[in-house]
Amino acid sequence: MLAIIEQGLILSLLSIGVFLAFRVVNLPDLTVDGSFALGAAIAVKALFEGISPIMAITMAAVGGALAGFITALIHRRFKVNVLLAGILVMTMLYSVNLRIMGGPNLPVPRVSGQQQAPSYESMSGGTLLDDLFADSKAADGPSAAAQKKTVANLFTGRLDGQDLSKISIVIIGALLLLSLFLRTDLGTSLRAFGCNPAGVTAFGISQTFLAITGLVIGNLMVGLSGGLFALYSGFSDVTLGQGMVVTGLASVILGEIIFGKVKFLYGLLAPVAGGVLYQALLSTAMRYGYRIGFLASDMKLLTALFVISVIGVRQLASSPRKQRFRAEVKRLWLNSRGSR
Amino acid sequence: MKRILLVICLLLSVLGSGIEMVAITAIVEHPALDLVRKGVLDELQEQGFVIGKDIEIEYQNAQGSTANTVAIARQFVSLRPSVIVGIATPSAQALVNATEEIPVVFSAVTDPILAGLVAAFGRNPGNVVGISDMTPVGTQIRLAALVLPEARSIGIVYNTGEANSVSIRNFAKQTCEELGLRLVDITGSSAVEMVNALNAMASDVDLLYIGTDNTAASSIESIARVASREGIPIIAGDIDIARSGGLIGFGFDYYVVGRETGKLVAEVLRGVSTEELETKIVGQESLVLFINLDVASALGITIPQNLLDRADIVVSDGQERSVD
Repeated sequence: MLAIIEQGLILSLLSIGVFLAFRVVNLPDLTVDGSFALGAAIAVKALFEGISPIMAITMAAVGGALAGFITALIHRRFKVNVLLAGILVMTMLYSVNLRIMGGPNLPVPRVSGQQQAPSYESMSGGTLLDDLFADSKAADGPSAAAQKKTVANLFTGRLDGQDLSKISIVIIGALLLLSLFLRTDLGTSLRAFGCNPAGVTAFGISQTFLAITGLVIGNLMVGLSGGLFALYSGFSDVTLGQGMVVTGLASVILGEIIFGKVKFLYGLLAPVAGGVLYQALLSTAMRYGYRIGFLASDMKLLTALFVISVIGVRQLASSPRKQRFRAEVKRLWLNSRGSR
Repeated sequence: MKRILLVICLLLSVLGSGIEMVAITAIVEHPALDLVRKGVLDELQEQGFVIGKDIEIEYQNAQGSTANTVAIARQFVSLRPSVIVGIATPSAQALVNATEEIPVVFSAVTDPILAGLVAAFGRNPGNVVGISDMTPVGTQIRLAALVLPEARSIGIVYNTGEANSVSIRNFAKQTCEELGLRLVDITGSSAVEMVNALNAMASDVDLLYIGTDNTAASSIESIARVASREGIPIIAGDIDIARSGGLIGFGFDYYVVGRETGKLVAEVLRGVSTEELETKIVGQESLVLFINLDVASALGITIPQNLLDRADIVVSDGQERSVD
């Protein structure tokens, strides 16, 4: 239970990022998959280089912000559709992340010792085919002499409430700073921009500037989330970001269902609650889903269907057609009574 | 009377809790990884642990999502099982970072040192032990050079996003340098990218080498088609990959990896400390040599008789037979 809350809270920073992009500035930003993995890659690499954990997650957040900046720039300067701009940056980041980590996967060093394993042959003393080769020299592991040192991680993983309190401090700090920011003139125009992009131009504020600000702050949160997640899980993997946009979006929508029209802190609390609830639902589905016939591989379909159905229901509920439909049903009902 | 009933109830509940939980998680549903899990369960049953009576199995799959491996690991730890089995690198990494007390047995991790699971092969302090699926890359490359002595450049097909494959690639590079061969990276992060890369580069290489890459394994049919069109043989580090159009395969069955893992799990269940168990590779007697003579004759390659004598599985005239 505690684990679900911890992970949910870390991923709720991602949900806040998605919320800022999709809801506040109304730009569907797909950079998220890449910037989450970027945050993770930077954080672990920084730890590996002996940088302190706090500094590492700060760098992760800055990395995410930079990714958002590039997406916004491509979108506004080159007039590229924001979805495409996001996909382009996400694609670039896959290669960038591989470069940063120097490979597809990087653990937070928790045991000191060798860097890499020796080869199979040098461990087993060769294979049974050795006599077939002219040179039966067993290959040694590359850089077997290289040693690595352990570093202090931010999280202990002991589930004793320590990790939770650290995560909570980050979340509360982020929420406070963000809500203070959204109160400022810039924040207000950012919110206005999401509702009516043309409207803000009338007040002499550049749309480009606002789009950049929105995506930078959104991806800053995503990068921070990725960095924290990597330190929390103890490793970073190049595939870590896969499907994070959908996870974030599902959390945002869940949050909106919980809070309805009530908006605490400019609606920032909704994605946090949604993020935790989403993790709880996901864990329950993974644990017990197979009893009612779900396969593990169905989860992605279910998540996407959930997002679609919520959006669909909302759309139908607000459309005039629904009102007409209601009136029609009422008329038929009255007619059928009348004809009896 | 009531008191006696109470005592009986208490005794029963103690006996009831005697059933031990073995939690198993894998990164994705995949034929090789599923074989590992089957091997673990078969080994446990063979060693006398009856599922449902002595042990209960909790299995969860992360559906290929690294983020899910973390959620599953933390959830498993809160269930307090007797031992947790992590199959493939991300699942194992998530587990070792989630607990310092519950024994973790990893499996099918090529380089557990690089992955940060253990400090070295053999005995280690701590709660982590396991089986590596490190494959004899050097020998596989040497086999390729033995069969095709005129080959100058070897194309290695792999996904740069798979940790296991990158380790294998580095070993392959080293052996190629020793033998004076050129290693050409043919990479892709998906099946489509991989086949595209292969189409672009196939004419530059004399043979293809595939280690235990998951992406290559899932697109092996397309890879084999390109290879046969270009008339280049495939040497594989995995027998199942070799079965789909490969010339030579030298590696082990993942079921054996599972059985070896199961032995460690059984020891842990009997109360042996993980610190007394050894992290190891699969023994050389489990390595299987696969040779497809049909592919050889189609490509006009003669397999040396002394190599053919060592084959465990030979395909000829469309028939696969095991040789003892």
